[in-house]
Amino acid sequence: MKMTSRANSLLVELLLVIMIFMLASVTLVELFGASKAKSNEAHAVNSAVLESQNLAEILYDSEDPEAALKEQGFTAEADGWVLKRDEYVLHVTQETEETDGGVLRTLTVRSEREEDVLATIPSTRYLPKEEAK
Amino acid sequence: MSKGTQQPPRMMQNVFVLLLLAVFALLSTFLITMGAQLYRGTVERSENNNTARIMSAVVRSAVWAEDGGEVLVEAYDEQGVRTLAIIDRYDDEAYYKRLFCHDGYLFESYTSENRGFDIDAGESLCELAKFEPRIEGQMLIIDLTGADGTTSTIQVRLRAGGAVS
Repeated sequence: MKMTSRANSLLVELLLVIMIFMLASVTLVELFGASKAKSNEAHAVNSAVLESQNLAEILYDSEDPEAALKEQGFTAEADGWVLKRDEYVLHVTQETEETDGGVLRTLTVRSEREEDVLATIPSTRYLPKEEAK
Repeated sequence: MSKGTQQPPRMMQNVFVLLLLAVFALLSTFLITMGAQLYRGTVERSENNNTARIMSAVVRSAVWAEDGGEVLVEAYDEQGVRTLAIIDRYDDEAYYKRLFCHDGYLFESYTSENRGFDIDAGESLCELAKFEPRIEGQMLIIDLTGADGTTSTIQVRLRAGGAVS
């Protein structure tokens, strides 16, 4: 009887230790997971910003932005051009403003990830009348 | 006789305790190893991101800061480097801002035309394995390889000054 009672209390002690250890493990694993998710997010933001900057430069250089966007793999949608990457989505919209001397063309590159806007980079170029034609 | 009946439960008890300790030790080791790997991965990725951002910012700001200067790619075969040179002229004298990769680092140097290029005269900016600039039309394209082997490409449209051959 005495032996059974001692064995039971030892088992309870051990189970308590294991339970505390498991709780600590779960907390740590959650923290590790969160830090990995943050790291992935930072990588996505970095890639998105770098690609958006490059794209803004390409669009500034281009005489025909639509062709340049198609070449980059964009598809035309109702509100502009879209390119889906694994970690983010790139949107490009165009605005033009007619002036006496020519056209002010603004192409805005916007990168998004799960409805969060990561970067918005405008690329504005003034096209004199002869060039705009 | 009584000793004989008490021995098996005590032995079982000891074996059970040892087994639990072994499981505890194994789980602890696994958790520490996994944590260390995740931490190392996070730090490495963070460093890569920083390097990519620094490289991009340095190159872009160097070109934009000297907007109006001429830009060219120079090859110094003796030293085994290709430099991105941005030339500005003050009082009929040309000044060269050069970006190049040397000894695993991205270097920046600023010298007058008379002094020429000295590979040891620059200032290191960040770790970098490869820096390969080229100019296509008015587009400056730089292929970069970080110290860890990650690659990225930077494109900058040359504006006022433009490319010179």
